[in-house]
Parts: sequence; C-alpha cells; structure tokens
Amino acid sequence: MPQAATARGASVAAPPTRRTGPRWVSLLPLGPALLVVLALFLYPFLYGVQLSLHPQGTLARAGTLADYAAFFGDARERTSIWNTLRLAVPVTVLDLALALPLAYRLRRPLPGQRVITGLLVIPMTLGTVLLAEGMLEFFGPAGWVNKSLLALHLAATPVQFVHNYTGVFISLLIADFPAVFLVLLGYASGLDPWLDRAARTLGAGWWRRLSRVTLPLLAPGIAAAAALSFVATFSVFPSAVLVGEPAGSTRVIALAAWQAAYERFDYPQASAIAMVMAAIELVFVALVLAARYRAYRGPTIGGRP
Amino acid sequence: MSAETVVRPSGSKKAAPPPARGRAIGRVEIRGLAKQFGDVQALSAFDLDVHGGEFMSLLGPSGCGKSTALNCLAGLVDPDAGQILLDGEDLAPVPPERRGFGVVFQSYALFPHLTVGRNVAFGLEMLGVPPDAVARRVRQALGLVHLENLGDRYPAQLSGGQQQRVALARALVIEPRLLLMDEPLSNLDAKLRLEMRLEIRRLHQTLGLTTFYVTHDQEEALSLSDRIALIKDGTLRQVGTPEEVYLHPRSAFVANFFGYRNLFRVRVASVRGGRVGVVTPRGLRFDGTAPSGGVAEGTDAVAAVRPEDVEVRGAAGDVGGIAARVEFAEFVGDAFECSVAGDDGELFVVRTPARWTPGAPVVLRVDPDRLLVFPPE
Repeated sequence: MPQAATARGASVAAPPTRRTGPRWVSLLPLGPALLVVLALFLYPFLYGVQLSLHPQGTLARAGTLADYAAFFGDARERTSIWNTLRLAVPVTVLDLALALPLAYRLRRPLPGQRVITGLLVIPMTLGTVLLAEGMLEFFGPAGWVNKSLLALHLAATPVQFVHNYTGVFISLLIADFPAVFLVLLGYASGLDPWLDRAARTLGAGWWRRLSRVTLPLLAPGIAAAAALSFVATFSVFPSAVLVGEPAGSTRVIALAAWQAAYERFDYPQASAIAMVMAAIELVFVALVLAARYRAYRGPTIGGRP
Repeated sequence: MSAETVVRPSGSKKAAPPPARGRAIGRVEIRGLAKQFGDVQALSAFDLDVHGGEFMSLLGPSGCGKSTALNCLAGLVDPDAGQILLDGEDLAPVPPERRGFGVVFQSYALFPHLTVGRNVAFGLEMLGVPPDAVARRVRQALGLVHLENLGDRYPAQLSGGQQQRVALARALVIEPRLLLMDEPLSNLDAKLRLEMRLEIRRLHQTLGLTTFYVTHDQEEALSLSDRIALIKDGTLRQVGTPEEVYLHPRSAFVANFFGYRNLFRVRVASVRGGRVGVVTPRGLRFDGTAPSGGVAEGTDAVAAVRPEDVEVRGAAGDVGGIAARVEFAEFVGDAFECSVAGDDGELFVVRTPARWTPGAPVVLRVDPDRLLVFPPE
C-alpha cells in the first residue's frame, strides 16, 4: 500500500520547546554541587596556596617562595618526586596494558562474565591497609609466593617482595586496576560491533582493525583511565609506608609532605610540597587530555543507532 | 541524478568488464548451506544459484535467516554445512578480509572517527593502493553517489540518506566481486527510501555487480530485483523474477508477502480439473484455483485472495455471492480499503473505488481464477 505508507511517512512538526523562565533558572540545580566543590575543594586549595606563600621559622624572611626553593634545593626532598613518578607512571601504563585486552574481551556478554567482572573489581573493596596486610603475609618470607618459589626451586632463598619498591608497585597495581578496568569496560562496551565487521570486509586484518578502528575509538577511555590512575597512584601514601621502604626508595612526595606537616609541624612547607604535587598531577592530566583531544572524540556508533 | 554523468568508480586502466547484465564473472552457487544458533536453525539446506551481474533479493520476515545467509556470503558467519562457490571457487577457506566483497550494513557502520573521504579510502588503503590513486578513486566513488563536496565531513554531520550513500561508496570503491546489502534502506524515511531505491537500481544498471540484497520489504524487492528468493524459517520457499513471484505465488506464505492479504483456513470440498471448491469452517463456499496442486478432497487448505480481487456490490436484490457487512472503511489515496465481515464472522479486506458506510450490507464475489488454494504450511 504505497499510499498509506506515504501518508504515514509525512513529516510531523517537532513539538515546540517550552521555556519556563530566564536562562539562569535552568542552572539552579547546579547550585548544591557547586557549593560542595567550593567548600570542600576550592577553599582548602586556596588556603593551602596562601599558606605555602607564608614561610615560617628560619625561612620567614627569605621571601614568599622560600618554601618552594627549600623543597627543590634539598636533594632528598627533590628525589621524592622521582620516587613517586617511577611508581605512578609504570603502574598506570601496566594497568592500562592489563585492563585494555580484558575490557575489550568482556565488552560483550559472555558466559560467566559477571563473575569475572566481579572478581576483577574486588580489589576496589579492599582498603589499602587490608591489602597491605594481606601482601605482607602472602609475599612475605614465609608466604605462599616464596614457599612456592622455593618448592619449585625457582629461588634458593626467599625473595624480598615487600618493604621495598616492588611491594609498593604490586600494591598500587592491584589497588588501581579495578578503576582502570571499569572505565575502559564502559568505553569498550559502547563500541559498535559492526565497525569491526565493516573493517574486516574492507580487508583489514586484526592488527589494522585494532590500530585503525578500535584503539582510536577507545582513545577517550584510555585517556580518562590514564588520568584517573596517575592521579591516584601519584598521591600514594599508606602502601608506601606499609609495604614500602619509607626511609629510602619509596619515600614518595605525599610522605615528604606528611613529614613536613606532622613531624616538623611546618605547615607552609607541607603546603608548598602539596602544591608541587598538585602541579605535577595537573601537568600530566593536561598532557593526557591534550593527546585525547588530538585524537578523535565523538560517538562510537557508525551511522544511525 | 542522470545516468549519463556517472563514472565507474574504478577509473583503472585494466580491462574492466562491460557494465552489462549476465556477466561471466560474479556467478554464485550456494549449495546446502546450513547454520544453527543455539536451538534455532537459522538456515537449512539452502540452495541458490545467482548469475554474474544479477540482482538477487533475499526476502522474508525478520528472523527468517536472510541476514544469516548474507553474513555467510560475507564470511562473517561460518556455516555449519554446505558451501558457497564464487565463479567456481570455494569461499570456505577465504576469510572475510580477503574476499573483497562490498558490504553495506543496515546501520551503515561508518567509522565515526574518520571523515567521509577517509571512510571511503579505508578499503583501498587496506589493499595497498598508492595514495594518489586512492585520492582519485575516492573522488570518483563520491561522485558516483553525488557526495563530491562532503569528503571532509564526519559521518555524524551527515543525514541518514547521505550516510547511506557514503556506505555505498565505501563498498563500491574497492571494485567488489560481490555487493552485499543488508536492509540498507530500513533506517530511512519513506520518501528517502524511494529515492535511494532508484539510486541503487541506477548503480546496479551502471556497474552490473552481482548483488545480494536482504530486505523484508516486498516493494523494495519487487522494484529492485532481477530475481527474488523468498525465505521462511531458514529455508528457501520460492525463487523467481518479481513478476513470477507476484503473479504466481506457489505457497500461502509467498502469496501473503505479495498482497494476498486475505488468507483463511478452508476445507477442500471438491477438486474438478483446475477448479477447487472450498468451504470455510462456518460454511461459506468459494470456488478457487490450486496453482501448485497438493490439495485433495477432504483435506485442509489455505485460501488466499487480494483485496482488489474481491468484488463488492450492494446487497439489494442481487443473488449469488457471499453476504457480508462493512465494518470499517479507510481512504488510502486512490481507493478505499474496507474490512467486511462475512455472515460467519470471517473478516475480509477489500479494495473498492467508493466509500461504503460502516454497517452497510454487501455481497462479495470472487473470480475463481483469483482465489488461490494452497496446501497448509
């Protein structure tokens, strides 16, 4: 019945959009969230900035930037940045590398998918302290890992896994994985499966489908996960103390700030260190976001959904 | 949209086959194809021969297996049994990325992160075509679908009809041996659908590619195809030219697809030569024809008649015919479609030049040649 079809296909006028008041009214619901941000984030931040610019004690007369100068002038303090970076960057990269194939594989419902996803997310529910305690047992000299290594003759003496860089690295890797995985899973399950098939019929093998279609479309998710992971690992504190070597290789920047504040009671110095920390995180996030905006952003569905 | 301005997408110097029908290449033989998904037999004992350059529609209701057949051709689904031969070559060992078929998906599946030009170029780049040749062929392919000026846009910036054209250009630019289309027009509105239908017809007449076209829309199939394959429950029910399947359906299923909107259960009362007398459960009697045989006295059957083949007259005075009453009348542009209820409550859809008032008593008559009687499915 072509006649009937044409009649039904006739365009219907869009309903008129209704405006109930001036433009600012629609922004009102933002209010409470804005208040929380101001009270819990912006105020402490600005307070910290001004605190860091008012040195006390012997530095009081050395100018407003004396605490920053003191931090960068002291090799031990300066090294805390390096100590943190060499944890945060490899952990972020490795977590991304581990989570990406898993998230891609689990993007479509599979038998047992819920169980697998649940298991992968469990570390999120453990606190850092609980995780550290578990690690001390499990990776300790008399723990399962070393017992297995000895029994299999892979090691002659117990391997030192904790109270050093390795301990903090493993702890961060485990604690950080769920967030990275969940962010990537969200993006991966939004991928249109037909794009992969289309690329296939156009002659693309698995590597070129991955590099030309899948990864570019996942770039926003990878950027978000990388930023989240870096910020979380760069501010590492408890595990650096509990399973690390806080006096040496894992004296991270957060620990330096803590020692300034609560061992030397030098709040301006602690604030200055915290500002350095914030600046580094900001630079990393800015770099990641810049890379992301250079890549594609937009829908991950080809054509009309 | 005149055919004269059209260029071949290839532009290559090699001896291109003439864009004529019935080419020697692109001949497809499908033998005993079967595929099962879980408990569902999506396709079974599916045989189909397609000549080079032929436009073959796979027509059937949703879930009938037509898309599975297309995906087997594309290589995206591995059949459980059977084989597909292209120009005599078994396709089973050839993965989809090396088949070189143009595929147009229902959702178009355009790469959202690539411009229109890069989308069309994708297949050529995968083939390792040099950049200057890629640029030229992309330009020609976009010209073919009248999108010369949109090469720098992203798919999300295009209308549905334009996206459809990009999908076509992307499939055609690689000079495919087969063109496979899966319900390409189902996401467009009615007006655009008619326009793109002409466009697809034009491209097929110009390029002469062997084309498989999956649709559930009988009008599309009738207007586009050289032949139509009707599929139900994973099996082939009838293959023929549009005229053949429209005029001579061989089963109630096919008849229903091509405008026999009145289907009703009957019992065969008599078979005399070509004439079959049938009775509805409540006792209405009709005379009809059994085009595919298979009906015997005393067996159940299905009678089918088109709305326009039922003659409707006022009840006054006349005898002969079936007494009925008009229930609804719908204006459909060039005629009225009325639902009429026979004395036994059986509802018929009839097409009449005049509007009948609901409740009016009428008499229905059906030419025995136009009432088809089929064995039950």
